[in-house]
Amino acid sequence: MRIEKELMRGAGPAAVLKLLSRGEMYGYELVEALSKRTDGVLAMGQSTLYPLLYNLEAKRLIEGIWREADSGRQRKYYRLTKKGKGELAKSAKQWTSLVETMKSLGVVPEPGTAG
Amino acid sequence: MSAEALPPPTNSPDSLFYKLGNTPLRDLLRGRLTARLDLRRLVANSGLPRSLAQLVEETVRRTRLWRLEKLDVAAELISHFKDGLEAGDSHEQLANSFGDIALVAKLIRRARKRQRLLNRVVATSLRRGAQALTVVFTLLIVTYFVMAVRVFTGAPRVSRDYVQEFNAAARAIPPEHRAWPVYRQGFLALAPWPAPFIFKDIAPDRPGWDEYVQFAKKNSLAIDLFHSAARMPQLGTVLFDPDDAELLKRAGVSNSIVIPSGLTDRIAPTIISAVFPEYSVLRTASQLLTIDAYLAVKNGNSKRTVEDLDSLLQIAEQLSHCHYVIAGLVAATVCSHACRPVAFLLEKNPKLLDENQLLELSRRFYGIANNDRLKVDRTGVRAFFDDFVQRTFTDNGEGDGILAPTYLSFMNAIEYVGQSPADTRLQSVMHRLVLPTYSFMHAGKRVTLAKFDDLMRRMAAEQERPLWQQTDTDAEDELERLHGNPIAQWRYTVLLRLTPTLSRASFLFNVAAQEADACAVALALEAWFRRHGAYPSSLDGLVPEFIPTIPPDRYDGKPIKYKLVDGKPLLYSVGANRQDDGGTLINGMPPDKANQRAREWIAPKWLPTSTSEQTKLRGDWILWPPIESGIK
Repeated sequence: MRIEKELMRGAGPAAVLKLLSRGEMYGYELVEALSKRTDGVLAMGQSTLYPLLYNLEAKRLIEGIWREADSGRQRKYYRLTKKGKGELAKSAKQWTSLVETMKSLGVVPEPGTAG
Repeated sequence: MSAEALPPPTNSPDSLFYKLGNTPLRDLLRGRLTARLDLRRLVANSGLPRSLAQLVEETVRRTRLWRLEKLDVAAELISHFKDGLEAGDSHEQLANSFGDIALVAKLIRRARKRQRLLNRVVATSLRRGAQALTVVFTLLIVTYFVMAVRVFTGAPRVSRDYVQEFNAAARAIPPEHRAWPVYRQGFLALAPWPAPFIFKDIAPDRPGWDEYVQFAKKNSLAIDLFHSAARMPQLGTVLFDPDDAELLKRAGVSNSIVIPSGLTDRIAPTIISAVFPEYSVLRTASQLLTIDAYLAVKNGNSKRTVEDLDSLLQIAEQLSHCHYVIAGLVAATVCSHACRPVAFLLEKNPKLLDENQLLELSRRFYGIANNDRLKVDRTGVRAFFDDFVQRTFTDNGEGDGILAPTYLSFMNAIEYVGQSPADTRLQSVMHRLVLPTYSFMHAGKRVTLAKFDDLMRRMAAEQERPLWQQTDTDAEDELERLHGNPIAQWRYTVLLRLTPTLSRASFLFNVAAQEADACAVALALEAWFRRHGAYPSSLDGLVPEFIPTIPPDRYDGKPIKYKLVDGKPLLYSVGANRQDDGGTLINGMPPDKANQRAREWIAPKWLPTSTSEQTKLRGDWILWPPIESGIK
């Protein structure tokens, strides 16, 4: 299932921040992880990912560092900053609240109920 | 899509022009030709299949970013595709999932621009600047309103009624000892003067003299009244005396400083708006008595001569007790007037007075010059300033306060002396709006008074030293510096507008005293001549029988200089150059101008050092026989 563009705009940064909270990752790795871990729901191509990373970098939520990979190639790794951790916590709360609200409205079915 | 790599660029990577054109400025400044800005070479050397390489190149080119930013984006995309290929994706898959080149380029451009340090710095600076401005502006507004409340709710407190204090002293004098009512009567009895005149030009045998003889004869009643008044011990003028009304009208003396009636009703009469008609009246009286003294000498009337001269010196004496600088200056002028008939007497009719009369007159001149009569009395200046401050600053009960709205009215009255205040309604509103700001910037009442007292104390310390010990005018120099400093002009407006520089007045007192000294010595010399048939070879012989001491030369502190020229006494001071030039005048100018030049005080540090400039000042200040009276 593809997510609407507007919804993706809100979910994408939170998803990237969450992935980076577990450790630093590079661009292609993030694309793959988003695709696999969300069953393709939050899959994003380079056209979305790199502008998103650059925006997060501009806001100082993440930082990118060029480093030599095991293969010997230069690769840019991204990791969460302190500010990014705070933003992730805030985002998580907002998403929880949103989901709860959607549940109370019946937009999101409660576990064990028919949608 | 092609899996072949892009061919390498044909231009030589070793050419200097190539390196210069592709090296960032920061590397050039470090002396390194890195040539790392060549995007095409970077992509070509990446080893990506042609289709992906073209994708990278085209996308990056379309971002229109700065060259270093482009390289960074290109390197990351190359790395991304290599990761994909290594993970087993085909170049077709990777190219297909890339998306629309134009859109990707646009989004990357937008995101990267946000990262630019300059943008961040500018945005942060603007934000912080705006915050700071808001804080400052808010503080200013709050301060303005606090000051406005303080200014418009505070009120001055008049703790001293100077008019009452001055009048109480005058009213304590018994009526028969008060000279002022008699002078006033004499002035009202005076016939009009013949025509506008320059007083120093009036002397026997000069053009127009006969007219003044007639004038003096017509005014015998006024002269008698002036003699009577002069015999009284004190002047005893009363401020705002209603009995002066007719005299003010006759003298053409207007009430020169008009304080708005609303203020005077509320805050008692102020010394600031007082008029002092006595100065004009006594100056006129002394002129008439001087003419009468000339006439008495010419007519051989010794009694009248002595009476006129005695009255002149008594007027000077009475004025010297008045506590105002202007009164002292009029006293100095009267003294100077008195010297002129003495000179005429000793030249034209030296035998008119007997030895005792000569010595008595000499004693009178010596007394007025050496008994602290001719000096700056700052009592009135301090009273005027304090009266102004107590009426134009609020009072917090502890002697401090800020400028009050009354300041505007008083300042307006002083600024437009003799004119209608030009303050329109609009100006008035504007002034009131500005006043809180002005009050905030202006020194408080206590600081203003303390600064005034400090300057006055220092001026007094400088000016009360004998002239020959005076070296500089630090206090007046400071006042001048404050005048030239824009911040001080705001902070000390009241002080700067109302503090007089009194060094000139102090100098004029020294001039008058030196002339009176010379007159006393000349009269003593005449008495000596009468007894010994010749003048002494030095002044030492005069002491103590003919004169208590030899008066000092005010320019070097040594005895006044004396020599005989053609058998007649010549008295002189070394003058401003502090050199004894043998009693000669400065060359190259008329005698009166040369004498005036020689007497004009110059601070020792400004005395000329070059020979040519020193020559221009070579000459003495001739005191006797008088060349010109000095004070007009």
